[in-house]
Amino acid sequence: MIAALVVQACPMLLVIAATCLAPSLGDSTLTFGVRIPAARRSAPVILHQLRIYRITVLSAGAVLLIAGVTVAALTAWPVLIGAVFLQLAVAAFGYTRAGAAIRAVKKEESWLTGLRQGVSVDTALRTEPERFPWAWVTPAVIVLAATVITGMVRYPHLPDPLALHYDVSGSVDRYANKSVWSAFGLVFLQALLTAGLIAMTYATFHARADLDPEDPATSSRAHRDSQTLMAKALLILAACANVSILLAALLVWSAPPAPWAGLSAAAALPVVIGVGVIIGVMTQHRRRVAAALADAPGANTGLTHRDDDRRSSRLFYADRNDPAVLVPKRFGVGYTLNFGRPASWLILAALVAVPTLLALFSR
Amino acid sequence: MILNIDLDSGVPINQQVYDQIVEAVAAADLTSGQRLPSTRQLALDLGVNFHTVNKAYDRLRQQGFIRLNRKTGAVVVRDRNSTPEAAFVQDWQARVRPLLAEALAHGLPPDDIASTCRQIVHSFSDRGGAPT
Repeated sequence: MIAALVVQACPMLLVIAATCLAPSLGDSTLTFGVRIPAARRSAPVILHQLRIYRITVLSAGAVLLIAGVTVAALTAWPVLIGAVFLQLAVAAFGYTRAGAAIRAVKKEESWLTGLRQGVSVDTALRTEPERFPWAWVTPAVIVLAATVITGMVRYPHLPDPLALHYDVSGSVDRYANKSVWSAFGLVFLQALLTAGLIAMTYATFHARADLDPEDPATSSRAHRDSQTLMAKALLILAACANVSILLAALLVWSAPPAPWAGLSAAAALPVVIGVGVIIGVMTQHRRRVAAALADAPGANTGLTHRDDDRRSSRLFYADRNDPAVLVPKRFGVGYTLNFGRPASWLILAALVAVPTLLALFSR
Repeated sequence: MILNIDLDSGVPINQQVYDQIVEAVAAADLTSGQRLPSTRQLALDLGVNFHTVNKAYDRLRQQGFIRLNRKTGAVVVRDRNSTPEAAFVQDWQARVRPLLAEALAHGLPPDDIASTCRQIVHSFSDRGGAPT
């Protein structure tokens, strides 16, 4: 019982850590979605808002975690999943608040005086691009292949009906008639997920760099490093996700039921680890980049990043005049969709439709 | 090469792109045979309309600096070591004439005008490798 609670608490712990570390991830010229010129990066308001945000997120996280674990222990309801969403909501609120406070000071103290807004591009990033780390696709593919083979070997020995899900006490709470769909549903999901994650990694690898006009050369070098790092971390995450699905599949394919069936939520742990790796790697990287930008003599371009003039809402990026579909995130690490482009809505629709259709089909 | 577009100056973006690429060729940051991104790719990276970059690339092509390739982007075809075409030299002299006349008309001594010209031309040689 305790083990089950610990396993269920892991994603929440990860989300608390992620929301706490989020301001330290991604572009070091951005804090809470606000562009900060180099000269102002240690302004008191920034340090102050960082502290407030972190305290808010940590205390909310602690409260939600304790409450969630208590309720889960007493009622066996999966409330810790809801706690994750609440934590994300707290983080979103904290982000918006902090951004507004910093923006107010930025305006009041005229941080952009004497600087002209610009955009910098390094053509070498396109004419001599980094090579995509295809070799790192191998772990995910190997796990997928192993899952398929295991499934094919075990299929004839499986009982009918199949036990699809176990509750925390180890007894089955969902059955399905044995068929290729019900037995291999998880494998189809795994294959789709692998293909989807690889495609997404490839797309973000080639997405726009958003160089810092105050020091484009250093920024460009840093981008090459983070491109490759991020791609490798995402491909490892794909492998971890596949391991998670393999564990879940093994539960379905075990007859008689495996002794650890009550801990079926533990199948999520590899993904938690994978995401943890990404966060750790990218936090370290941003620290290195910030140090490099601080040490570098600078290019004296007289330019600074374009200001927040193209953002209609603080949480989403929507600019019809920007041709890019994938744009760097302004909080945390990675890329997000430019919702001013119709293609983004199509992609979002596909991302929602595919798992939904899959879930409907497997009923 | 690095393009730094100033969004606050009055100079149109396509003009800045054209000028900076020409200056890069003048400073030998770009040599004949080197590639530039495709029109669509550069527009995406700059966050501007395709037509803005198209204008700049088109002018570069007309002036004989680049050759456009549908798929692989653009290739630089002229640099400091190329032989200047007679037609270009004539046209350029005609364009320089009013600028010099302006300076003289404002009272700048001819020696100053000549030394300024020399200075600017030399500044391209001194930059040598990448300016940033």
